[in-house]
Amino acid sequence: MNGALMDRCLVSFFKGPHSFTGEDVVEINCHGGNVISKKIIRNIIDSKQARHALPGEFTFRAYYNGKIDILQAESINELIKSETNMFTNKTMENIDGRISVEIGTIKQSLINLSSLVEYDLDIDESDADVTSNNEIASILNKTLLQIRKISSCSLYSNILKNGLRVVLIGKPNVGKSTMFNYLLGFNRSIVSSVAGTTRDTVEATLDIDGHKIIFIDTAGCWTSKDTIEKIGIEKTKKEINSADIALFLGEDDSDLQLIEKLNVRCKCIKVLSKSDTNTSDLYDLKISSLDGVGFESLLTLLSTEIKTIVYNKDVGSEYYINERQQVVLKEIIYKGEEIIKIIASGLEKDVLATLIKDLVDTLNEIVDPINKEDIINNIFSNFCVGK
Amino acid sequence: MTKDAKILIIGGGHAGVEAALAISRMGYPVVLATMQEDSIARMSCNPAIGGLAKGHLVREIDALGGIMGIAADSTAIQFKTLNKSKGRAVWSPRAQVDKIKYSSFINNIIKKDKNISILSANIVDILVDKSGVSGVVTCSGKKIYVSSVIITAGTFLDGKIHVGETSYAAGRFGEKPSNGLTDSLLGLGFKTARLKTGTPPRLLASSIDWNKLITAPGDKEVNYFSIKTDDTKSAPNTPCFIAHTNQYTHRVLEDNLERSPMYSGKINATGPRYCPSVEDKVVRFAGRDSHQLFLEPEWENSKQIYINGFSTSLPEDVQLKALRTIDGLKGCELIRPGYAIEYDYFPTHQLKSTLESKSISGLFFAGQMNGTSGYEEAAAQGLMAGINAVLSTYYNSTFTLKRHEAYIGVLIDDLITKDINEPYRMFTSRAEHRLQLRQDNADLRLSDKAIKHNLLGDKHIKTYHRLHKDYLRAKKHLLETQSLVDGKSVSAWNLLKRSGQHIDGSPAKAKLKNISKRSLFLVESEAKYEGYINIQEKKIKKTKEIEGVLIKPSCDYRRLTNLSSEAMEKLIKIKPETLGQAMRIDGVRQSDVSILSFHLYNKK
Repeated sequence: MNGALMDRCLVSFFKGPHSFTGEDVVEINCHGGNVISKKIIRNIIDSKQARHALPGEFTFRAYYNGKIDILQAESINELIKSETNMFTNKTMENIDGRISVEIGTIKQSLINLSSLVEYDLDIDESDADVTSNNEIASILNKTLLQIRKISSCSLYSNILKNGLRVVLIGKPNVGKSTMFNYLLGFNRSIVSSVAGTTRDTVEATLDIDGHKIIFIDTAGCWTSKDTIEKIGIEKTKKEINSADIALFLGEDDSDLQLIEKLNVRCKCIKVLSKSDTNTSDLYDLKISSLDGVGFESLLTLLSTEIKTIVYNKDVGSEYYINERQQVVLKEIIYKGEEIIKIIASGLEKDVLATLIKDLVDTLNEIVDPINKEDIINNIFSNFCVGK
Repeated sequence: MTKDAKILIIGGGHAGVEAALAISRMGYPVVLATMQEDSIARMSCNPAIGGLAKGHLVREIDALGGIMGIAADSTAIQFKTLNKSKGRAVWSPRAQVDKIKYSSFINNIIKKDKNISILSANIVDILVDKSGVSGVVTCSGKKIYVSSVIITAGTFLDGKIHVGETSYAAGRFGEKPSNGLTDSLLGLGFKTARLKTGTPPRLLASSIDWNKLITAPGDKEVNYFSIKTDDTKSAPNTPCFIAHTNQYTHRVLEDNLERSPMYSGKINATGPRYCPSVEDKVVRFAGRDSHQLFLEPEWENSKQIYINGFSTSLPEDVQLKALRTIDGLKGCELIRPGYAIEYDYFPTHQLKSTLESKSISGLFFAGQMNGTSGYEEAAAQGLMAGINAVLSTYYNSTFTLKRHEAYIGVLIDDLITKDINEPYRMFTSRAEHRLQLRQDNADLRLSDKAIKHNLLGDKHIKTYHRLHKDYLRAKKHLLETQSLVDGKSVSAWNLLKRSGQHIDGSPAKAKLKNISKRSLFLVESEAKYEGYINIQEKKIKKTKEIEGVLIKPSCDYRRLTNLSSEAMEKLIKIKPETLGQAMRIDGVRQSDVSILSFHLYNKK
C-alpha cells in the first residue's frame, strides 16, 4: 500500500516436505485485532499471488501429500468441531495416530491370515503342511476380538460427539423452566442456548465433567388431571425416546404416575419441586428454586449418572471412532462371523481365500479408500473452514 | 521361404511356436527364425506341462486356439490334477509328457503349415527406421525386411551355463547361445539385466533301485487340457516315483556350498525364489530334515530320469555324492549334471500391454527373456504377441485381456506394472478374481473373443459351440427342476450350491443324460460359485471405470509436483497406459493415484 508500513510481523517459512501439508508453507503472525490481519490478507489476495483456502484444503493437501492418513484428517475436522474437553482429548489422540495404529495392527493380522490361506492354495498339496480351516477360524476369531474391542467404543464415541440428552419432564407450571434456567445459570460453561422454533422445546448444552450434556426443556404435557393433550405428549415422547436421562419434576406422589404414562425407559431421576411447600418420600431428591436448595446434589447425582452411562462396563471407552469407521468395523465383524459360520458347515479353501481377501478390502476402506473419491470428498466437504 | 511375410519371429521355443501358429491361424505368413531347426518346441527342463496356476494358463491358451494343450494331451504319459482338496477354482491340471513326442508333435504341425517358413539362422541385429522395425540381420550378414519382429529368445541371449566352478557360454545344454542381439537392442535404447534359472541332473534309469521308491501314479479320471481332445478316450498312466532327501544329503550340500557359483558370488543374477535350487532349499529351510523329490521319466521307456526338486549348480561330483545318500539312489549314475544358466532379460516396463515395445513400433518381446519362468508363461506371451503382431501390422488394432478375464491378462499386466526382480511364475494368488478364472470355464471366458479374431479352426468352433449349448441346456434343466428339501421347494441349481452336492445325485440328473462330461463339470462349478462370483462382479465393475481412463504417453509427470518422489520416478520410468495400470505400480500410493486422476479428469 504505497510502501506504507502495515505491521511488523513474524514470518515463518516451512520448507516442504517437512511442513504440515508437505508443501512449502509461509505463515505470517501479525499483531492482534481484526483490521491488521484483514488488511494483510486483502493485500496478499489483491496481489493475485494467493487465494483463500477452500474448506479443509490444508488438511486435504496434507492427506494428498501422504503426511496424514484419512483417519487423522477426519480427526482434525472433529477436533475443530469439538465442544468438550473429553472429545478434544480423544480426537487429539487420533490425530496423533492412535486409531490409525490400532487399525494398522488389525490390517496386518488380516493380511497375515490372507497370506496363510493364499500360500496353501499355491503350494503342492503333497509337499506342504496345509493350515486347516479350523485353525484359520481360530485365528480369525482372535482378530475379530481385536476389532470388537474397538467397535465396542461406538456407543461411547457417539455420546462423546453428540452428547448425552437429558430431558426435563413434568406437568406445566411444575417449575421445569425455573429448574432449566437454574441449571444453566449454575454452570458457567454454557455452550449454546437455542429456542426450538418448530417444537415447543428448548435445548441448552452444558459441559459437565468434560462431557457434552444437552438439556431439553419440554412443554408441559398435562393439561387437566387426567386428560393428556395429544400433540404435546407426542413431542415429549419423542424427546424421551432419544434421551439418555430423564429429569422428572413433580409436586406430589400422584404426579409420579405420569412417568409410567409417558413410557420412560431411560434412567429417570425423580425431583420433587418447590420443596419448601411440597412433601413426598417417593422422590430421589428435593429442590427449591426459591432458596436454591438441592441443586448442588442434583448436579452431583447427574454427574454420577452420566459417568455410569458413559463408562458403561458393557461397552468400551478406550477409543473414539466416528460413524463412518463404526459402519466399516461392524461390516467386518458381520462378514467375519459369517465366514466362521460357513467354515463350520464346510467351505472350500478357494472360496475361503476370496472371503478373507474381501475382509482386507473392507478394512482398507477405513484407512485407504481406494477408488472411493466420493468418500474422500465427503470427508473434506465437512470442513467448514480453510483448515 | 514366404516372400510376402511381414512378421518374423526370433526363436522357436514355446513362445515362438505359439506366436507363429497364431499368426498362421489368423491367415498371415510368418518367418520363424531358429538357430537349430531340430530344437523347435524343445522342453529344456521338466518333462511336464501344467501344474499349479500353469494348468490354468494352458487351458486359456487352448481356448484361444493355442497348441500347448492339445500337444500335451497327445503326448502325455500320465495326467494328474493338482490341488483337488482345495476347491475347484484352484484345481490345476498337469500332464507328465514324453518330451521327444511333444516337440515332434508340434514340429510336424509347424512344418506342414504353409503360412510358416522356418529360417535356420542366428539373428544378430534389428533394423529400425523412422516408422519402427524394418527388418533383421542374420549372423551371416543377410538382411530380411519385415514390418514386425517378435523376439522370443528364451535363455539364449548371452547365455552362460554354470556347473560348480566351471562355466561356459551356452543357450541350454548342448546348444550355443545367441550373442549380438542384446547389443543390438541396447543400441536401440533398451535396458537389460541378468537372471538365472537352473535344471536338475538327469539320472540313468538302470542305476536306480526302483523298489526303494514310492510309486506316484496319475489320475484314473483324466482332465484333459484341450477342448479338442476327446474326453472319453482313455489315457496312459505311467507312474513317477518319489524319493526323499535326508540329513546326510543336506550335510553334503551344506559342506560344499562354497563350490556353488551362486554362493561363491560367481553368478550375480537373481534366481527364482519359487523354484529354488536344492542347495537353496537346504539353506532357507534349515529346519526341515527332508525334501521330496519326484523321479520323472523324460519320455516313454526313457533311460533318462529327471529329478524334480533337485535343481542345482553344484559341481558334478557333489551332485553325485549328495544323490547317493538317498534311499533308492545309492548306486545312481548321472547322464548329465544339473546346471544353472544365466541370461539377459529385458525388464518389461519397456512394453505395452500388447507386448509391443513402447519405444519402437513393430518390435514385440515374449517369453522367458521377459523375466518369466516356465513353458506355460512363455507360451501364453507368445500367443498374445503373435495375435498383436498381426493386429498391429494389418489392422492397426490390439487384443488384450483384462485381469478379471484371464490369467494371461494377470500375467501381462503384472509384467508391465511390477518390478520383476526374479523369474516370474504364475500363482493363483496373483489373480484378484480367482473364482471366475477357473480352468473349467476357460473356453466360456475366452473362445468368443478368439472366434472374433479368427483364432479358432472350424472344428474347434463347433466343439466350443456344442459345449456352450450343452452348458446352457444343463443350466436350464437344473433351474427348472424343483424338489422338496426340508419342506421347501429348491431348484436343482441351488441345491448344487450346497457343500457335497453334485450332479450325480441331482434330481435333474435324468434330464442331463446326453450332456458331455466337460459341460456337466462346468455347469456344476458355475452353480457352486455363482453367489461368490456375483459379489466379485460388483468389484470388477468398479475397477473397470478406472481401467478405462487412458494416460497419454506424453503425460508430463514432473508437472504434478504433489506426487511422491518414488511414484514420480516409477511413473516416468514405466509410463502406464491407463490409470488402472498406474494404480498397480509398486510405490504408487493412493494419494498419488488421486493426484493423477484429478489431473486426468480435469484435462478432459
